[in-house]
Amino acid sequence: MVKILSLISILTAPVFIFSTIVKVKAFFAGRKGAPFFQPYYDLIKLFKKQITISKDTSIIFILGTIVTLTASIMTLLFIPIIANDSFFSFNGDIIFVAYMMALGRFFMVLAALDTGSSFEGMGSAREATFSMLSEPALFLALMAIVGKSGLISFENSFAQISPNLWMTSGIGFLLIAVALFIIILVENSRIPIDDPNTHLELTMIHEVMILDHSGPLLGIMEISALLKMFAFISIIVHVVFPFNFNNILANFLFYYFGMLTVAVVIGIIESTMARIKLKKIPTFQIIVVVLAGIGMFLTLE
Amino acid sequence: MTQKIKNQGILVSLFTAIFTYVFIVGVFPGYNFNIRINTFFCQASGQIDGLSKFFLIPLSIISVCAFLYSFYYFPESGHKKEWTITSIFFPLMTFAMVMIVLAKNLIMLLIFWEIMAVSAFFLLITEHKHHEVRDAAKLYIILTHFCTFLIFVASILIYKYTGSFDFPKAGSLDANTTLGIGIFIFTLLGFGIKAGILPLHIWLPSAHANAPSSVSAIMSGLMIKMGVYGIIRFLSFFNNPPLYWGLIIFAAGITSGIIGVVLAIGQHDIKRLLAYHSIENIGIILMGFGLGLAGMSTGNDIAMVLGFTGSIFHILNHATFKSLLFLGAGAIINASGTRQMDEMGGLGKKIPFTFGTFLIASASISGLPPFNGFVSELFIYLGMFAIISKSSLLPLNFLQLMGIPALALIGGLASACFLKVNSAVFMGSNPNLQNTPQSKFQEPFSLKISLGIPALICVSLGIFPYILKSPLEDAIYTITGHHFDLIRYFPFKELSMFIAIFYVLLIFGLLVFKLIFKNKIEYAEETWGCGYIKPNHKFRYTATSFAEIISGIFNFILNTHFHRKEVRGIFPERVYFKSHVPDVFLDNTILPFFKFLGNILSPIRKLQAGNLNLYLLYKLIAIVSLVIYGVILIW
Repeated sequence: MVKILSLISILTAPVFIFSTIVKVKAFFAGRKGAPFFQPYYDLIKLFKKQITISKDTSIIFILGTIVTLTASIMTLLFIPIIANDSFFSFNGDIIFVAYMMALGRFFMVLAALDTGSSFEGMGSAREATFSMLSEPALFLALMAIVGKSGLISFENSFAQISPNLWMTSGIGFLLIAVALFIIILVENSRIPIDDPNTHLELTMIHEVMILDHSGPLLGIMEISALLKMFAFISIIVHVVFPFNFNNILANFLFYYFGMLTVAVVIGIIESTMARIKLKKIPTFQIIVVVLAGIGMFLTLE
Repeated sequence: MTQKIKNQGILVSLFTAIFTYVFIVGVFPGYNFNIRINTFFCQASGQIDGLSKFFLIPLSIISVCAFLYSFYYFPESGHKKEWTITSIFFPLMTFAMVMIVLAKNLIMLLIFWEIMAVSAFFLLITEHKHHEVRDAAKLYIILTHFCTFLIFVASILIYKYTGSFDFPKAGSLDANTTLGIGIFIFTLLGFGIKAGILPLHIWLPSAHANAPSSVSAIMSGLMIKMGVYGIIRFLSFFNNPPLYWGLIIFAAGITSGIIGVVLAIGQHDIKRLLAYHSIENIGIILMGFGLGLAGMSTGNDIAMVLGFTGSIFHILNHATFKSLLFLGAGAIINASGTRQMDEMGGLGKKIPFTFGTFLIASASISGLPPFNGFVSELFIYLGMFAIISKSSLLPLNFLQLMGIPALALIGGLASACFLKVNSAVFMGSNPNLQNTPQSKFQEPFSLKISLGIPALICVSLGIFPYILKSPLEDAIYTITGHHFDLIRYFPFKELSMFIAIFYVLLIFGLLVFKLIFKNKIEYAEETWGCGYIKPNHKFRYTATSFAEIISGIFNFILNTHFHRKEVRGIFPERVYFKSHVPDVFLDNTILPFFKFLGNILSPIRKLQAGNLNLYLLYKLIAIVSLVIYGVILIW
């Protein structure tokens, strides 16, 4: 039952999050916004199209795209979605997930570089740099999540995060939650790090990397990006809303409530903030590392 | 010609046979190997134990691969001199390394240590016509002798402690004595030079960059591991290493790791870049070893076992992927005719086998699953995470609070760096390549096999690390004196299962993609390059531009020098841009220091006037004073 509901969430929640962000942004701009299921329509449209590839590319271009998707799917096997149940779990899966994400990114960047275009080189360099800088912060946050639970897996770690823990070392967890939230913005190329809507190559990070992907390949990249955002948001939902109702349906609904909250916050931030200057991003990220470090230290007791 | 090939064939077969033998006796359990030779001044003895066995694995595989590679790198015709050097010193150096690992006696260790160091020197100056090679060799020979000297001091101290040149039993010395601390310091410094721990690494980048690629591969893959072996072996003599030993080694590991990889990112020369990555990986190995020592002294078994295992496992992993990278770099340099990455590009389609294996090695060295680098890093991560749950000792918490983000940062930087290398070397298009003769792009069998074997190891250890369970356990037994069942500490089964799932999903994805979209793919045009009519390879995002932001962030370490001329006026003159990353320690600290020393001490140089009579006078004074000293002693 839990597994089926988890599967349903995997199929629906990424689009749910995405559309919520779009709707919030539209609300702030006084527009109506795209239909809720627009991402599905877009994907269907993309998969019907033809694939046009540059002659300069090698086999890495297609291989890299598929590896990116596979890595995103692999991460979802270990991240608990409803309550503390994930599909699989083992001692060390937290590190495995973090490195699977790194693998996906590695091959995404590789596929972009394979075209030999200087635009994509630019985007790739930025993506590689900024994600490299968010790695220490991510691991500090993961350390706080693991805490004193003996086994280093998401299931075990989330099981020991309870409202009580928030009572005793709330400030630490608050800092960790903020750090995690910023990591989400960085890793998923949201404002204030990157603007997913601009279409000027010189300002983009993620979007410029997939300039030469077309049709189904672009669709696969979009799916991986959605799944990745979903994985990150699942982690933060479990940290911020550590409630377990002992009722599957209640947990399921509560989980969607958590998702909704995070998505609305992202939407509000995107509507009210501008992008940071590209040169300032590293400084910003180092602040996040320090934030996560202090948070981690405070949760140690 | 044919006779020559035959001779070399025989040589290789002999070589392979010997190492297969060593490998088999080394790895098969229950075989005990004992030699004891009485020489006129001491007894030399050797024995295979768990640690030696483990080191024999990379020694036997990588040396054969690198030797086979020499057939590709120095083809028959026109390389007679190079072949003479290679066929004498290559086996000699490998033999010396095997004997170092087998030695159970300090004298034997030192003798073979010198043989290894000197053979490496001769291999390094194979292409001695270039002055960079000679400079690198000079620096190497000075430092390697300094290294031997320090190890010599450590050995003498051990002799003073035990009264014998035989290795003391593991865990038989007391660490908290003056002699114990002395041994620790000299071990760390002496073997540290060979291992290339920052800031003792100064010989390493230029030596690795200027040696022939096959030699760089065994230098980086095997020789610097001998330094780590020495540290592990000498420190295993102690029964109660204090906590600060572990912390010092761990801190040295973090510094080497981070600074090594940052310096690597700034490089333009592909082999220099790989050399700095060796420093980085030595850092990771030391982090694991330091963690293990710290766990040992605080009684934290999980951290101890995982730390030691991760460190030893990473030694094997680094030996495979780093030698693969160096061998691949040789093929790349051969094909492109330069070592500068900014001048390369588009080689992926010309040398596909090299590209594929190089890519596997790049992913492994970045610690990415499903390759072997990830497995050893996972050991170290699990060990560091284990401290959180088991202890609230402040130094240990500090260790993991620094260690985990540092290892994550190292991994991130390494993957950024190898993205840069792969894109700069293999990807995009490069019109220059059309002028290169096709013979440069050949990938003969000797190249394929010497690249293929390490690549295969990277992949198979990544998916199935369980093969190494019992050699690892034996090695841990040698270090700690206790037997640990690794399956209790590390998720071998689950890891293999999920990596298998990953492969299945990946292959399934590729098949589905091929089935559905095969007919829809159209290779239309070259990549849009802003409409320039005659683009050259520099129109791509070059390696330097890829690393620009990162080297900007870490400029306080890199200290990049820029040489440029700005565009000025309506009809600007020809402009240029060059950047150059000095080695912070060698160019900014040590060389100026010695220059300063040379200036201060120049009055002493007058003693060496070149006058024979004066020298005879010195001798006379020396003899007379010795006689006087002797008389006083007898009195």
